[in-house]
Amino acid sequence: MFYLIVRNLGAPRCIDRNNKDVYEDGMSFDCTPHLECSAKEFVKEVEIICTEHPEDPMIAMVFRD
Amino acid sequence: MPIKIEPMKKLSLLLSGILLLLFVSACTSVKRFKSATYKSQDNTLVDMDLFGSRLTMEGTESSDRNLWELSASAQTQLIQILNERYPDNGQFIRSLNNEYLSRADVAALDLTEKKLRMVFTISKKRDYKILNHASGRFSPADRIEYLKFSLEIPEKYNLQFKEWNRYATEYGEIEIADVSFSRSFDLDVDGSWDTKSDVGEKSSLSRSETQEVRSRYLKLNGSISDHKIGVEEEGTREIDLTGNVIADVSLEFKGFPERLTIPLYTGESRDGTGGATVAALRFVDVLVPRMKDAPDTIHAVLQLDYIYRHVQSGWKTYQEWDDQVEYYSGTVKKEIALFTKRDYIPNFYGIGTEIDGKTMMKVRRGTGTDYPLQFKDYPDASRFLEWLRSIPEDGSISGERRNNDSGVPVMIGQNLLLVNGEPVTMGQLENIELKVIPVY
Repeated sequence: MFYLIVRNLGAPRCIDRNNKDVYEDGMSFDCTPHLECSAKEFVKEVEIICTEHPEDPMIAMVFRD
Repeated sequence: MPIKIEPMKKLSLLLSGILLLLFVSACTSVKRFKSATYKSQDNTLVDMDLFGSRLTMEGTESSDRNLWELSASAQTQLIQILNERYPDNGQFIRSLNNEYLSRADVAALDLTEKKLRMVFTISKKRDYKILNHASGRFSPADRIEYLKFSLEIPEKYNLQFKEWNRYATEYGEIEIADVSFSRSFDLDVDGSWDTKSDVGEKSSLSRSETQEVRSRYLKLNGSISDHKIGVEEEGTREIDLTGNVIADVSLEFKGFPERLTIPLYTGESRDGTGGATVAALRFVDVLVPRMKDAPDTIHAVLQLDYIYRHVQSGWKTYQEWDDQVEYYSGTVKKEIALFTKRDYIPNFYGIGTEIDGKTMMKVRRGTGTDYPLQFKDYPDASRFLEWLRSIPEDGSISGERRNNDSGVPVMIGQNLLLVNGEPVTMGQLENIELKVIPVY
């Protein structure tokens, strides 16, 4: 399982998960949910857009279990 | 025998008197100095520091709306109505403190906009030990004649300046709401201060009148860009720019969305006693500062360029026209602490446990999406936890009766409470040491 995690003010938040690594730069996500994730291995960084505040793209991290 | 002065001599004496008066007048009101030379660069003569700063939220308002928030006439009318309805003292007092309006403004909560007040102190080196040294660079008449300072915030903080609000020196104060300003402060002949927004108004034709009637004593320019503010000050006529200056600016962080939970209680009491129970959960979206990590201190780079007017001779008189002036330029550049984590971190609180790492409770909405169970402040979180602990043994919530041992997950309206991502029963909740935990 792959997890998309954003970190803000030092607090990590898992905003999406998927069986495959579908995450790429420029993808949009709802950043308010906080899913249960067992992130263990760092995979990559991607630049995503939070749909609630699309003006400023932000860096998110992809992890896998 | 009376002295007889010839008419020609009379005229000559009169002219001499007028010339003398003109000479004295010219010396005192027209000349700025006897001589002036630029000497060198000396970065030790002046220093500048951030004496204090305060960061507050832009347009902070209480989310509570009770009777005391209404206008005076509305208060009077409502008190009269309540007095008729509740002649009993206890009921009447409780009615006064009821919430009469909904917390609609919470929905528009934007914690990314801040007001920053900075107090800078500008000081000059006062080395009285070298007062009469020929090579010394200090006299009691020395002053900072010109200064230009800037404050730059590194881009990594996702923080930018929005606008000026106010700028004040000991000589004057400007209320501004713009990205730049340009002002000159004048002293009227009657002693009242005057501010001119357009320096260009004073043309050469009116110079003589200006000299007689008013004396400009300070010129100010200010500019603001995303990451930098700049101020330029020039003091004229014995005006020393040493002292404190206050700059009020608006700042804006880039935003990150958060969802807060607002429990809606039923019952008379708002303090968690008297049988109040959570009837429903409401969710509001807010924006908080966006920063990957939360540094303990936000730093900025302060740079000051100045011109120091050293009076080599002539400092025994207050007037400046007889001064032999030596000018020194200098630069001071330093990193300063602008504000701390406590100032910009939102005070959100959640409920969870710190055994085996920090685990926060979440809530699964009817749509099946999980959100963090977080509250706008400590009292809200504490009250909700107190309510969770005080659910009657039969587990009745919102009129639905559930037994502790029934294994039925705790639901508030259509929302399911989660611990470690799993629905939790009342019985399980009792075995977890829940406490109020700060989100950041």
